[in-house]
Amino acid sequence: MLKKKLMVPLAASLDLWLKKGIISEEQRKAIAELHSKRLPEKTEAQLRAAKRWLPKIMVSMAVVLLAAGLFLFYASNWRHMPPIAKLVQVFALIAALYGTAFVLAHKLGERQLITRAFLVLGILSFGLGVALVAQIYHISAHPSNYILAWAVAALLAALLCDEPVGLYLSLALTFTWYVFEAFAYNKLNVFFVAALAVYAFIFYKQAKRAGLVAVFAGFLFFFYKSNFYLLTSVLLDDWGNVLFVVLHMPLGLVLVAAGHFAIGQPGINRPDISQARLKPVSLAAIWAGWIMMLVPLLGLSWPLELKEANSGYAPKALWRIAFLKDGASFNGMPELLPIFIEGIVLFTILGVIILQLVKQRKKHEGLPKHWLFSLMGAFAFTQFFVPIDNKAIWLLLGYLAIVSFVALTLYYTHSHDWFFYFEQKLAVIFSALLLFSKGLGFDGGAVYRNEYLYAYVLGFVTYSLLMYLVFQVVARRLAEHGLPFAPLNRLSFFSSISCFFSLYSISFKIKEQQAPFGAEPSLLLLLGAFFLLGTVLLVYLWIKGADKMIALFVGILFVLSAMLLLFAGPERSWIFYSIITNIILLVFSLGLVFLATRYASRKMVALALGFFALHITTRYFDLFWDMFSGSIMLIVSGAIIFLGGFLLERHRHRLFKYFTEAKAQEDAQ
Amino acid sequence: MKKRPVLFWVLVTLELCFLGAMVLRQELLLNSKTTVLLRCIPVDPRSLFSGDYVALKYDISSLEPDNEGMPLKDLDGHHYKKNDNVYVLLKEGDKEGEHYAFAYVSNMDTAQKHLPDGAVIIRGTVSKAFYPNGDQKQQNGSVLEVRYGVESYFVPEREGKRIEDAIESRFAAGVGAGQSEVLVELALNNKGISAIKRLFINGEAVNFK
Repeated sequence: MLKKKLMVPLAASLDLWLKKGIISEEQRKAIAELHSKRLPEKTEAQLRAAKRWLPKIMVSMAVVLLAAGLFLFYASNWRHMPPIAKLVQVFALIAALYGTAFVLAHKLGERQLITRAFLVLGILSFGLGVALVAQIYHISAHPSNYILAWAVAALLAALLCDEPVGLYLSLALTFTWYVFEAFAYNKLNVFFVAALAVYAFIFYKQAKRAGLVAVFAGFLFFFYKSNFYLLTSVLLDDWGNVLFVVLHMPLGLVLVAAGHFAIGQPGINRPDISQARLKPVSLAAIWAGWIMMLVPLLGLSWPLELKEANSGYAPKALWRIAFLKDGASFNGMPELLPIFIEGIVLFTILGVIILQLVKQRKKHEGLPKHWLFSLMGAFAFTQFFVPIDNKAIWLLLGYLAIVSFVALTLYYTHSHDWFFYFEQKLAVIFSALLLFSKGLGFDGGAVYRNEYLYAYVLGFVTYSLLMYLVFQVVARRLAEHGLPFAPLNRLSFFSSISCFFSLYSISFKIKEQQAPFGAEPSLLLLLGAFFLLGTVLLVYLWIKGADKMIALFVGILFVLSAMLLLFAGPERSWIFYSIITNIILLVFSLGLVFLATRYASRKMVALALGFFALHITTRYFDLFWDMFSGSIMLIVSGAIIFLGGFLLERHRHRLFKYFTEAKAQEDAQ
Repeated sequence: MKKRPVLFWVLVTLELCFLGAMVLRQELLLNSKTTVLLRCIPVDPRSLFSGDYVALKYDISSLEPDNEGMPLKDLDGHHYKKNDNVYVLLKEGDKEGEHYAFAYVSNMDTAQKHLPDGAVIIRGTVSKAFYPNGDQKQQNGSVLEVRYGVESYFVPEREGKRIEDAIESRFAAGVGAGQSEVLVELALNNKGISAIKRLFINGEAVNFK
């Protein structure tokens, strides 16, 4: 279309260019010829495409109109017909539509569009027939059974005549049936899963990619619907909820691994046709798997007040299920069984996958080490056995899992070509999410329990520093293998922001603080774990010959934070806290400027200088606001900020110039 | 169709047989000699998905044991859950043909044991079971909501309103003169399964012809 429109102006322009002497007559001919050749080619292709689409659109419209007409006809004439006439017509309609399709298949050909249209109308007419019989006889008992019957009929017809529309219609009807069963009757029909397995097999055999994705969505729907049913109707205690959240980790791992296996990755490459047909569903599984893994990490790493139900923890509950049959006296314990079975199945599949990975890895170097799968699986398995009301263990496990998850996913997605590019991006996004969401948690704690403000905020500061160290360790490990870690700067940026603003928020005058030893034991345990883990990582970086300055920088911040925590208490005046936090803030922003300069990161320098400026300006206002009158204060402040800004900006320019020169020198060498 | 013509026609025949079986089942039920008249209470008459129909709710749609208005016995003290079957025992009241429930039970055998002469059994499915204080046993205040599969009466377009109004006016007029009553004649088989035979408004069978 566009080309055609362009043709006229081009012809006119060619004449004009010839007149003005821009082109010669030969050139004009050459250009015109080139276009006249190209244009018909494209137009023909477009026409061919239109030819293919036109009959499809027309026949589809005809089918829709015919169907609507049939419905309208029956709606308006129904009341005038005696029941027997109605029944005869319904039977005749079904037979006639299928019959026409049959005759057309023999006269015009089976794959003709019109034949297909009559076949689809035949499939639809059966559903119509069922609805009409139900109406004539006022049947209202369990209508979903009739939807299922229609689904089965549609499936058989679709398979027999190789009709994809019927296949998709049948899947949609099965899904409708299940939704009906689940929501109207609150029934969990396991038959749905078996039906989905049948559809999966058929779609796989027929290489229907969209069908496979739809079946996968059906499986996910069943998983959630069945579990929500259990949790809302049967298991009303916390333990059922927790187990359900825990199960997301093994399921996520299984989906990610299964997706990669199915798609055919280095080391497990299967160069057959299945890869192409399984690609969309595998990608869907991988996406879903990663998101699922986040669920227990984000869901259970909070100081949750979970009550111990009768169930307690897994071994105790299993014992009860095995030996005490009377569920009624144990708060419906046997109803936990489905979740246990899900758990056992998932962990078994995960175990098989890990064994397979170990086995295959011996043959192929391209496969990732199995640590990601093993450690995360072990974490979920451990959670399965944790007593429900032990807040400290839940927190500790949750945070350990978060730190391991961030480290492992960042490392593996950046070191093995087994993973896709989008998984690298996901790993970075998840790391940021796990950093900031925990910030909200700690800050929430600080607001809620103001007398332990320091304990909470410094908890988050140490967590941010810990994450920073994790990013450094990942970068270090990758560097050992000669691999780059592009998101390092961005991730450091995130942890610096969380660290600075947390410290900044406690650098003001605050109310009297309690000694952190009086805070919740779970919080103290967590802080201890952060310090311990941080020290381990610091030592690792030091030994592995990473930049000593980074270790030193984080080490100083750790020590200062620990000191502040140790000395906090009701006997200290706010000045004590203020001095120490301001020292930490200064160390932080200046240290960051230093590190950023060392790594020639312009963004980091800008950020660090920004931190520094904000800190100084705030303290300046803190100090002098009450001492001078408003106008003098503002004038002097303006002048100082102007000067300070100028100096800072000059310093930043110098630094950037230095970076450019250093880079140029490096390039020259 | 071309490759497997026989199978194709077998499938078409099966589909027609399925419809035929649906028809036959209902016809057999409707020809059953056991019929009862049940009284209706008003409910929302229209539904988007079912075309034009009247939603029927019966006096026996909610079962409350030892209720003063409807003395009803729970014969086996079963703890009902959603989708459980419940067998309701009906006997003829003062008006000819009109039946009311006098007991219910969770299985057919017990129902038949307690069945007096002239009484019949109708099978329903529990759609909601309400036990105050979460108690396991039936007691005062516990209610079962039951569906019998005869809750829809399909009617020609715009006719639904007439039936609905008739049901409503029975209540609007209050007890006494001028009230219209809606009764449904059900056919029952020996398993307690029911089908709607006729609908009566003020004693007159509804006829749409």
